[in-house]
Amino acid sequence: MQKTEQKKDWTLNPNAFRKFLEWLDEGADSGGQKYLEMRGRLVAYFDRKNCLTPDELADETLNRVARRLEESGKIESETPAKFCYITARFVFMEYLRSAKKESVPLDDVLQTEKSREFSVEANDERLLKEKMLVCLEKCTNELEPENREIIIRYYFGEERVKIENRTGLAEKFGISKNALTIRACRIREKLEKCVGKCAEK
Amino acid sequence: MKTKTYKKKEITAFLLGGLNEEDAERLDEFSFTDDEFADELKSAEKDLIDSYVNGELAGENLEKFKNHYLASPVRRKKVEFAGAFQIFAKDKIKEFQTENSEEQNGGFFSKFFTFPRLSLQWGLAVAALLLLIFGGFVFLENSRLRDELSRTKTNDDEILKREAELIAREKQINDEISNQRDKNSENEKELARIREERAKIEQELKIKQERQNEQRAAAQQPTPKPPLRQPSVFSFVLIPTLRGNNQLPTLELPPKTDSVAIKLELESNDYDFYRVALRNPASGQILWQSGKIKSKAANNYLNINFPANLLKSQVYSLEVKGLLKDGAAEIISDYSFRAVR
Repeated sequence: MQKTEQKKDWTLNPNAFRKFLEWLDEGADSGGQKYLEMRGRLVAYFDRKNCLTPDELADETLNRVARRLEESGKIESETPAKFCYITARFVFMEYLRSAKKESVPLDDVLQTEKSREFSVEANDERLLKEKMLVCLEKCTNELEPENREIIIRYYFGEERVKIENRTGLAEKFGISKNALTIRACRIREKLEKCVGKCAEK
Repeated sequence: MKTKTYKKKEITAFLLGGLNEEDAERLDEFSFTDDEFADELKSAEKDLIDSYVNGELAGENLEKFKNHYLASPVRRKKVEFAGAFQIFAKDKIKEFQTENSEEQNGGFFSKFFTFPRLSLQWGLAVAALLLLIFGGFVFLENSRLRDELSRTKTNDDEILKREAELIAREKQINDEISNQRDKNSENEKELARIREERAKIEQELKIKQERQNEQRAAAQQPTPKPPLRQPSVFSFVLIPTLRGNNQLPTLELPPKTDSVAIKLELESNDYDFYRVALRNPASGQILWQSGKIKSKAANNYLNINFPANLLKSQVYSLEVKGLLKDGAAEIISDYSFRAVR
């Protein structure tokens, strides 16, 4: 209990954060991309586990790793990615224990959350969609023309249309299908974040 | 890092919470440690969301998507974005299609000659050369096929002619068969008629044969003789001729008398055996003579029997001789009579 409190009391200072970014980059300077990538994977992990606050749990995981790194000076037993995963598992188990202490079954929590969200969505669905369409227009215009074409053609349509579009795109831009997939996926994540921020305004 | 290719089906199950704990943990770890898998997972998740938005999910996957995937607000936001994006992209895709179409229709040759895309130019030149070679090959192949077609046509004509001949021959054979059948039918009728006739003749023959057999049988049977006439025997008794008695016994023989039986009364019976002879007194000729006769011991009679036709209407005498033991014979009596017919 005392140890947990110590962890909670610890805050990420600029020095520890810089050291943490260097450790994640494994010698190469990614300009913070590795950190963002790892945070995204952690959020996705906690989200797949149906945790109610995946962002918070992801930040908690990153803080613990940074603290450990600062306290130990170095972590060589595992790769940064593997160490983050192991830490995330501990955080998730603690989350499960705390959820049980509250005596509210996780499924009920999820169901309540789902119902609440859906009721909100049902009421504001039309307005939200209209807003999102405006934001999509704005955010895609901010993309480079090539990326704009890729995101539209790559993800539009049903399965057969998609296959044809993707083959045509790969040929047009002279890249492999795998490279095109990764590129389209990153453009979409970027666009999704942009639209998310835009719609919140 | 990545050492295996992940099946789309497994990744989909992982996203929909359909894997067991062990497999899910394994893929969770890969989602951190394997950059390629992490990219693949993100891409698969986006495709899965789009499939749901486009109504392509069905059955178990659709149920899991609704119950598991949509349970998270973070993921629901992703679905909301995807829904809006599909609507947005539907309008935008037309612009790209039109642009691409214009590019393809209008600017091919100008781009070909103006853009310094050497590799493309070389590629197209090689393609043109290949096309030329292919065209030549096609031309030659076409000529060869035409010749072959012509030969085939000639062969076809011959085959058609042969077919026509065969059809005619077949018709002829059919006619012959038909005629033969008619003939056979007539022959069968004739044969039936002959058989019937033969049967009739056989029947008649049988009847005739039966009659002949009957006749033969009848012929083989002894001819019925006229009823036997009972031999007519004329019998009478003669006594020895007495001296001085000139009256001769008369034997009136009825007509159709066969034999004459005479009982001769002996004066004495001194001999064991006797012999009687019928004599014509006029000629002295013996007409008949008996064998050795033994007298009837009790009555002293001698029974003799001779054919009646020996007698005519005249006087005859029966001479009786006693036979001695040495074979000699002694006349012992004479019996005369008159035969009348």
